Amino acid sequence: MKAGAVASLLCATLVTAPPADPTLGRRLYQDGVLASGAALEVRLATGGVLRGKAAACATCHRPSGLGGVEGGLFLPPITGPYLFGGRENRRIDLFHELFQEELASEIWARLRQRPARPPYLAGTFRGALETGHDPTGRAFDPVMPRYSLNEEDLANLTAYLSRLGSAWDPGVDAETIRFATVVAGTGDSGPDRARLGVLEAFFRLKNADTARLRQRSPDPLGHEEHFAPAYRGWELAVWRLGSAPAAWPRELEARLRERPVFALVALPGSAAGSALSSFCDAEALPCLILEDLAGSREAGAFTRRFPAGGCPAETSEPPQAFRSRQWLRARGIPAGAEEGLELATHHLLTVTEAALMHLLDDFSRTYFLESVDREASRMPSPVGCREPR
Amino acid sequence: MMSRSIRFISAALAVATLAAAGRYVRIEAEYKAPAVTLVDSTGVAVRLDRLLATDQPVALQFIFTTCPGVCPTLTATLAELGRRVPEARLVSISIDPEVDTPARLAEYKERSGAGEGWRFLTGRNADVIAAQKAFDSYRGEKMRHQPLTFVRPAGSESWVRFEGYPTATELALELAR
Repeated sequence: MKAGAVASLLCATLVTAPPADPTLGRRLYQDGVLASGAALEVRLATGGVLRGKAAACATCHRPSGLGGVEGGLFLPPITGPYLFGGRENRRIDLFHELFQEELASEIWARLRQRPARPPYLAGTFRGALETGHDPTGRAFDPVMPRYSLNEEDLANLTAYLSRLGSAWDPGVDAETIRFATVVAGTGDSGPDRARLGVLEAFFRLKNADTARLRQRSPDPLGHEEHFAPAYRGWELAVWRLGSAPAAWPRELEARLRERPVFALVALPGSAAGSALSSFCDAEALPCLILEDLAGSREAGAFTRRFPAGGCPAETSEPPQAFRSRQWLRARGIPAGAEEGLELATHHLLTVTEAALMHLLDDFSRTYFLESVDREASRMPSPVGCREPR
Repeated sequence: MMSRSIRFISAALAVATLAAAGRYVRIEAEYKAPAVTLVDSTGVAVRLDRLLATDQPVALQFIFTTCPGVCPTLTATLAELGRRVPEARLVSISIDPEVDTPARLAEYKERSGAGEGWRFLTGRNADVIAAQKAFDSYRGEKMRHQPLTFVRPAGSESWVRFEGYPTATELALELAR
């Protein structure tokens, strides 16, 4: 994208500044640590002080830089393309800021009428951080602190932000978004067949829906047709692994190199659990795992666990089970011994679909996981367990 | 010339008042704390109604440790209030008890530079919801929570509810009423 050119332009205007280090910029953005090693500190308009991680950009604008909405507060995206790239103000960009949120009416009005803003340059970016105004003079929400960074930290942060979000993560192209699931051993056990049956049905129907959406004439009042580019075609690869878990990391790596995927979905739990977790973290690859609650609950930064049974017996069946069960029956998937796993797989894919909706054309794996967390907390599991983390 | 500058000054004043008014809404209200037992960041059981039944000034917030935008600001403001009014009893209740274990709250407390007396509470989901409902702040889902601060001056029966972002000075003045 354009961010590279913009980054070099920014560097050109910062001739007197020390060479920018995006790695230190990342540390400043994500953890609130300055180049000197000291904690970032900022005094708020309300009189309080934020320090270190609490003062870091990522705390509000999220590790992905794509922001979100929380507590009636609009946290705008601040990745390279948004800040420095002169990204056009399209309805599709507005969508994930508007989507299903409870917002104060003035924020709604601001989002809908968001005036164009010129791309930030080194000077206006510094000014925005220090005074809380964008290049058109519009004031930020008072919750945004005012940061005074020295030349070095500002250059590092700018270098990091220019790169952040400037390219899609692997596993996506203009037409397709690719997922994979994993089958260990022969793959014809009852649980494997139950899981794969729901996966294949879900992907088939999803693609049929998206194809229908693409053919619809644009609705000037609706948003729906904007989802088609976000969904793209869903492609599912089934990675068959050998029966020796010790060899899995190597096998997984080979499959990923062969044809990258955006995320691994509906992975089997207990057996493959910890081998998968460390693989996913090492590859920065989102992995959504179906987990029997009795199994291990070791968490990794890139893994999310969805309950697939083993809940306390006292829980009565939640209402979501009815919807998921209806979906399965309508697709000719019979209720069998593995119904709990089928319901859980359907739930995991529903969360995936909703999370993908937020991405639109910002295909960031980190943003995908942030959206998965959000959607999982909104959509209770049909198997009656709360999401283990 | 004179009248124009006066008009300008009064316009500027009106804008300033509006801006201040836009940061929060202040409401006086009666709330009755429920008799639920929560647990603090050291694992000690705390009856909420008893904790709040005090003659000291009280400030109360609902937060959660993974909350991105609102809570760090609210908590930092409360920390500053604690520095200005050391005798105030500060209470923060997590609205995300399944994630916010006492250990996580202890870490959040440490990160916020909170003094010893400031209690961070979590508990059973139903009890935390009861506490939120008692203060008319339950919104069903944690991401829908509002920026709320409740303060009660020493010896007072009624609470002042702030929706938005009052400054620590404004909260301190409220406690001194």
